[in-house]
Amino acid sequence: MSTDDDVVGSRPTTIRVPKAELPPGSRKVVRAGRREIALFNVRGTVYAIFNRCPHHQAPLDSGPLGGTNVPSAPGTREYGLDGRVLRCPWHHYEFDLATGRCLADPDRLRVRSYKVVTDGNDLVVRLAR
Amino acid sequence: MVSRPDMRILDADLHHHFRWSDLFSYLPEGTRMPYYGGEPVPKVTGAFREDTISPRGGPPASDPEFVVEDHLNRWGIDYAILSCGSTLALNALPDVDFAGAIARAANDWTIENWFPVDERYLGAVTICANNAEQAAEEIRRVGTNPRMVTVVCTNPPTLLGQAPMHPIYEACSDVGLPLTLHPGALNLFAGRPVSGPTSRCEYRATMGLMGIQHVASLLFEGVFVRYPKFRFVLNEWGTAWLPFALWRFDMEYREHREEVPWLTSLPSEYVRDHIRFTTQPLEESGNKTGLSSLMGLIDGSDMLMFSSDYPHHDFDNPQVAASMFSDDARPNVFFENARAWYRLDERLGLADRVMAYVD
Repeated sequence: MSTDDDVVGSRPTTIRVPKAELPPGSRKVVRAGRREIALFNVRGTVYAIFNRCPHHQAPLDSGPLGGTNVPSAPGTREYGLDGRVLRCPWHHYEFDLATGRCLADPDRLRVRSYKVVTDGNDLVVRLAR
Repeated sequence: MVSRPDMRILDADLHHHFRWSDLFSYLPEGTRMPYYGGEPVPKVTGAFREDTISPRGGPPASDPEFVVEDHLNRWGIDYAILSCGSTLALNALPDVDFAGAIARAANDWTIENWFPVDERYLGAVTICANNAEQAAEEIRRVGTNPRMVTVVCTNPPTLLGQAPMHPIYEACSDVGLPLTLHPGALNLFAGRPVSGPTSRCEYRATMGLMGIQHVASLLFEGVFVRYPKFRFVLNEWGTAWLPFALWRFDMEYREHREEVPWLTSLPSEYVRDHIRFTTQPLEESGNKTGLSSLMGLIDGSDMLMFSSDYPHHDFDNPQVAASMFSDDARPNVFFENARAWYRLDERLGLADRVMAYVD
C-alpha cells in the first residue's frame, strides 16, 4: 500500500493499494493521515468507507457483512442486497456499502463512502469529495 | 307444602350475601371499601364525579339534557364525542354474541336518544373487539352516520397489531373512521407482561405502559403499511411519555430494522401520520410549562386532542388544561387537531358553517 501520492496541503487525496492485498472476500483497513478507511472486496467489487460508525464511533471493519431483509409486505420476508450490507459490530446498524447510508434512517444517518477505481495493479481510493 | 323426605340432609353449598354497609362494622378502619366482582382492586372512592347525577336521577351522564347544561354549556364546548361509558367493559363478557348485541343496541340508543338533543353531540361506534368480524359489520352498519366520528374499542383480545384485530382496521379504513382505544375492564390487562397491579393507584400510574405496548404493536406489526388509510386514537393512556416512546421506537428500529422490513420510514413518522392522543389525564409536572416544554421536544402538541373524561372523577377542567399549553398550541390541542382527525368538515359540512360565521 502506498498513500499520499497526491497531496493537497497536508491532506492526502488518494490512497493506492495493490490489488493483491485485497482479494475477493477480504477486507482491510488503511490509513490516510489520521483517518482510517475500511476496504471490502465483495466478489470483485471494492467498497471503501470511513472506518467509524456515526452512531457510537465503533470501528466498522470488524462488522459482519451480508444481505438483509429488504422492504416487503407486512408478515413476509424478502432477502436482498446480498454482500452489500455491513452491520456495525456494536449496535448492528445496517449500512449499504455502496452508498454509506444506514438502511433504517438513510437521510439522517450515513457513513462517508469513497469512490474506488482501478489503476493497473492498484486500487485507488479517492478521498476528496 | 312439599313433603320432606324422611332423611337427614347436609347442603354443602349455599351462598349468602351481605350489604357492604353491613360488613363495614366488622372491617378495620381503612379497609372499609367495597370490592366489586368485576374489578381486581378495591375502590376507596367511586369512578364518577358526584356532581354529575341529573336531578331527574339515573347514573352519571345518563340524561342528555342535563349533560348539555352541566358540561357543554358550562365550559363552552363546541363538540363532544360520546363514548358510551356503560359499554367500556364489554369485552369482559365471555359471550361475544351477547356483547355484540349490546354494542349494536348501545349505538342505536345513542343515535336515537342523544344525537337529536343537541347538534354538539358526536358519536363513537361501540364495538366488541373479541369478535372482529362482527365488530367490522357493526362499523359498516352505523359508521356511515355522519355524526359517528370514530369507533371505540376496549380490552382487545390481543396486542393491537396482531392479526385477530385486522378486520376491524379494514372496516375502519372503508368507512373512513379512526379507531379509538379506551381503557376498559380493569381485570383484562392486555399487554401486561407480568401479573397485574394491586391497587387502582398502581394501575392508573402505569397505564402509559399499556398504551406504549399497544402503539408499538400497531407500528412494528406493520398495521399502517397493511392499511395505509387506517388512523388511530389512543384515548386516556397519558401523553408525557410520548417523547420517551418515540425516541425509543426509532432507536430500536435503527438497530433491528431487519426484523420489521415492511417499515420504510422511522416509527415516529408513522405515529405522526396515523395516531393522535387524547389529553386527559394530563400529567402534572408541578409547573405550568412542564408539559408544554416536554411536548416541544417532539412537536407533540400537533398530536394531542383535548378530552375531559366527563363524568369520571378524574375529569380535566378545560380551563385548567388550557393553561398548560402555549398560546400557539392551544387552538390546535383544543379544536383544530380533532377537527382534522375526525374529518369534521367533511362529515358535518363544518367548513361551510365556519365560513358563514365569518360572514
